[in-house]
Amino acid sequence: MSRDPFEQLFESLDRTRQITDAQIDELFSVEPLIAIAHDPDPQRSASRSGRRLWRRGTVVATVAVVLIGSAAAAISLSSGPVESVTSMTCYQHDSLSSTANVVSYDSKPLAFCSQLLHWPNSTKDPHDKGSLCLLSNGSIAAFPPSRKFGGCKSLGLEAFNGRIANSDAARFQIQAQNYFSHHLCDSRVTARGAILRLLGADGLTEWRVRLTGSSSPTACATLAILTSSQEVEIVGIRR
Amino acid sequence: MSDATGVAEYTRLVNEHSRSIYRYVMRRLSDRSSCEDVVSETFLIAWRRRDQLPSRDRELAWLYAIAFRVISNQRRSRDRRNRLTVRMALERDGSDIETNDDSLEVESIMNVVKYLRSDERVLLEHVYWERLTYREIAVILGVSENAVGIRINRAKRNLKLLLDENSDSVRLSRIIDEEVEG
Repeated sequence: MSRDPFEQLFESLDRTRQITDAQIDELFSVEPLIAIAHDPDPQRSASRSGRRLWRRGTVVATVAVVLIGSAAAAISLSSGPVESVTSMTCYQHDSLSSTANVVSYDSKPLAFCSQLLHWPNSTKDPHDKGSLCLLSNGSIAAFPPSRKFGGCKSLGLEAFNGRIANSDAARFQIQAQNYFSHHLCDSRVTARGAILRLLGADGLTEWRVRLTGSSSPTACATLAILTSSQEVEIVGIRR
Repeated sequence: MSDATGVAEYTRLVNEHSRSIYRYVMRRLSDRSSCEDVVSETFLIAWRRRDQLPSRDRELAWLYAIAFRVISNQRRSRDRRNRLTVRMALERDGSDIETNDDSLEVESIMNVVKYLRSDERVLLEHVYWERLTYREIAVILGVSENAVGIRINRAKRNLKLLLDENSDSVRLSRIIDEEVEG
């Protein structure tokens, strides 16, 4: 059966054809969309400016990460144990539309975010250091101490239960991210070799590596890590 | 629908379909911040109209229909602004989303497709990009299923004519592209 000739034509015009779901997750977050349901009477202008601030703080940072070719950890939607420990998000206020900073994971996330964003302690409880929730991409979100905070559920998020799913996988993610931050434009084949060596060293021998995106020799490799399916996708991006 | 059920249902809708909606919008708008605004607007409308949410097999087409109208409104107001400021029409195509393929061939094809009537182009985009059925496209565009079928056939015929007329420029660009690559 012959292929519809227009199918290929429109495929070539589709600017999203080489963008993986993992990259979409990195570019855009569902949290502000979910927050709509928790703010039934949104002040549009306020929420938009809030979103723009958020965009500057978060999306621009993540886009930059993608563009410089460092690792994009693509995590399945999960409310289970934390799967992404390569990064975390510090929020200025107890709202998903407040200014946010995506930072490298720190073993003391609340203390780190408090220092970074100069969180005030608005509660009388000196032990209240803030709250940790799980974003839909499996990474941690840290919110400042607040009397008004209704818990993670009020933001449509799961509370962080303090467990990290797989320390080998977490270690691999950090190493892969480091590798790509130092090798900004490796070819897909070179990147695959490096990733296979890291997987072997971390004992993740059952993981699979897939090559996708542009096969052009001038394309730069970027990375998506799918921990749930134990796959690493090396995506060639034409510059 | 109780409030809690509404929130849960809406959250599921976002988690299941936001990627598809982002793709839908990114295919049609070139700059990233407009994409974000349109997707936010789409889900805000979906939340406000949650009582009209159709059955699960039809909810994605329902969201596409909302996004389609938001994009149309945005284009209309943008065109009004552009007329007022007498901007060059070409400026609108400035893109800040990586297409990953800037070949001349794609550009040539794009130029040919641009000559297609906009309503016909819109129909074919829904067929080939989102792979929707005639019935789903009819819901999005607010026309009958029969009309969709007839218009799609006409659009394909017209596109074929345009491509035949412009085959020289497309072929030439392919040769140039090969020479550059080689």
